[in-house]
Amino acid sequence: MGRRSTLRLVFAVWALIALLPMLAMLQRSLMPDGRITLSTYTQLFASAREWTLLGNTLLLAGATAILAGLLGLPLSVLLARTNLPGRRALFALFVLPILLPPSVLAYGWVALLGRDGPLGGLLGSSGGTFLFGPAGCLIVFVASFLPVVLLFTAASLLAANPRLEEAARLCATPSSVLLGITIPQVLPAFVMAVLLLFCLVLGETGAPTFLRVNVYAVESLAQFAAFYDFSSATAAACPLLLVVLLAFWGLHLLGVRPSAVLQAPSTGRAPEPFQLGRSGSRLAVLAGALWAGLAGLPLAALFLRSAAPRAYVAALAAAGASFGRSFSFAALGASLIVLFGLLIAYGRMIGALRQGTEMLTLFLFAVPGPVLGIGLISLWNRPATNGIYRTPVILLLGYLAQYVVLGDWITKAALASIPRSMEEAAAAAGAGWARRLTTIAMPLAWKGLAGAWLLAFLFCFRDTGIAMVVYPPGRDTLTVRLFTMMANGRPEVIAALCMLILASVAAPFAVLGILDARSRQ
Amino acid sequence: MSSLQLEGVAKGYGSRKALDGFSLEVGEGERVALLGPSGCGKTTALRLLAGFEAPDAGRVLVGGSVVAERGRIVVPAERRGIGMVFQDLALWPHMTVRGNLEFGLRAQGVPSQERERRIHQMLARVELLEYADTNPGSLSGGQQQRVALARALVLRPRALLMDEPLSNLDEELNLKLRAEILQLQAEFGFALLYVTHDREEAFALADRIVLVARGRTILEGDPAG
Repeated sequence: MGRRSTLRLVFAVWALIALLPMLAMLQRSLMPDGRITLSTYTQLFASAREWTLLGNTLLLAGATAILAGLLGLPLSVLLARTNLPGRRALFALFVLPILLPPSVLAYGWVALLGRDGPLGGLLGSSGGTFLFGPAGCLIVFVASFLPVVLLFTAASLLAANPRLEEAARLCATPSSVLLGITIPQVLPAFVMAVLLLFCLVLGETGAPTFLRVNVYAVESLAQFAAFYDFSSATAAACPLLLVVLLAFWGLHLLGVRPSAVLQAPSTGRAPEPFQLGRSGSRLAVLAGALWAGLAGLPLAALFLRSAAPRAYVAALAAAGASFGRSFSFAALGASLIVLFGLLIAYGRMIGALRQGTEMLTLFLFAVPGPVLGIGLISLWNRPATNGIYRTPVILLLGYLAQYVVLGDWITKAALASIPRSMEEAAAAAGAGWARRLTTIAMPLAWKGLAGAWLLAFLFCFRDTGIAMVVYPPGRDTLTVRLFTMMANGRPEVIAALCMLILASVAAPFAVLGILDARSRQ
Repeated sequence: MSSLQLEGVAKGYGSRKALDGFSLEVGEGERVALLGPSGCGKTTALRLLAGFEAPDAGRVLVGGSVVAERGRIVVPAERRGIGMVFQDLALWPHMTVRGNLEFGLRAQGVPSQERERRIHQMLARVELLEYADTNPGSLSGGQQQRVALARALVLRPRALLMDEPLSNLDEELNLKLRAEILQLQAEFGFALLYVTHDREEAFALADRIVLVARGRTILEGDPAG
């Protein structure tokens, strides 16, 4: 089989793994008893409660998107394009929450402002009860998903052609250049990030459940887990899928293309930072205070609550096995994601796959995890496929479907940085495409591949949405165990577990940072 | 009086010295070409004059006034009255041709009617009036070059810096645009500092050629002599 056919086949296999569960889910909801009927949908939407729930979910996701967008755009400029003191460290701190399940931050907020929390006394007898509602959920979501806006917008800011700004600097003040040239250039990336964030919030279940906010993803999960009403669960999942589809259609109408948004820097030289002058230090303090307010203080409260060593011993005793499973599932998932991502990115680079395939991998990333999980069960919960349904394979398929975009984008950037002549020279020497890929392209792109693997590992490790629905019996992951313990565990043990999760994601994140710093040098 | 002046400037990037005690003077209305191989420091000289970077040592003067010296920018780029055409043209893709010309005029506080008059006049001069509301990305290479020239000249700069702007064009278009640059320079009277590695281009465009190698002037003279 030739190079193009093989790469197309790889993409087709991935697309089947990712899309068949959705189709199976639709089929289940439309044919609950073997005949086509809309009865599940009509029953579900006959109640005003469902509509209110959907409205509240969209409102919460919309409010998070707006607030994170309003904070994220200026913050991205400040952290990525100015000479703000300590900007690299601040950027890492602001990005950190995306690597944690939002439920960790939610628990941190309650640990901080609850009756026993260090700041709980400041709020009077009611303590932090306001956290148990949409306001608390909004704070947690903004802190957790702000990094999406930061990462996309900052990447676009750094990839911009510096000469476009220089041409403007000849005739305009720095603020005019920023507003007239720089920001309009990054708007597509910003819009894409805000819409993606909106979709990611739709799928969150852990934090809303803990904070007792009933959102649509929780409803879908409850139909499945509490009542085992599979038809209703699939019907309840479909509106979320429809909303994500509409969001992506909106992106398409706006002319925002992932390939155009996430391109490698056009020149080797980074754009000159905007000079902040004397206000730099004050802005750095302000940014630091914002981070502390969103994520720093709740994480510090968790640290304080878990201060006793016996809490860590108890946490490891209660969740040690889940820890091990999460590590191994995430490592296997990341390896699959990088393998498929590399082949898909390579296929797109040589023209075997269309640019539009990028939109599909991004779309799957935005599909709410529980929706994908319910789809996976719809497809694989059959006697003939018990080998998949009852084993971690189903979880790995979910990871591969949802997170392949990380392998795709990062390896694409790494492959694009290799001069085409390198591979052409190998072809002239008689090497076939597989040999060229494994002995020329992959060794030259190893930093990108390692970065992609680490990032994919972190996202698989923190995953709650898919794991909550499909984890095999008796083999729960760490995030599922944390979620269970949050309902009835001892506070200091839960806090210790949260700290252990933080340390687990921070370590590879630090490795990523070191790799990045080295590649810059 | 000199329009542009570099006095013993040095500029390095890490351990690499791009310019090393380099001096240059361009008189009012003069046409000077900086000729030399890639990496010899020609573009760095332009960037120091434009105000994008400060010299590590030496002084940069524009119109007789010091605008940068020893690691310090005294007058920022937007207040030097210098235009520049970049090698990749750097036309702003999110603006129309008119928008590209209007941005600088608006930033400099030129009143609306005057802006409109100057844009119209300049686009007519470079024969692009019918493309005013077109996105620059949809124009041909030669038309894009003329937009870049018009964008720089609509601000009536005292000097125009050109960084190998014709290097990516075919020979026929290159010759045509050389003639156009000479015509515009004669018409507007700005000082022209033209960076190139093409000897023929330097001889065709300049009153004086400065040969640069390893960040220093090797030779300087009149192309006719």
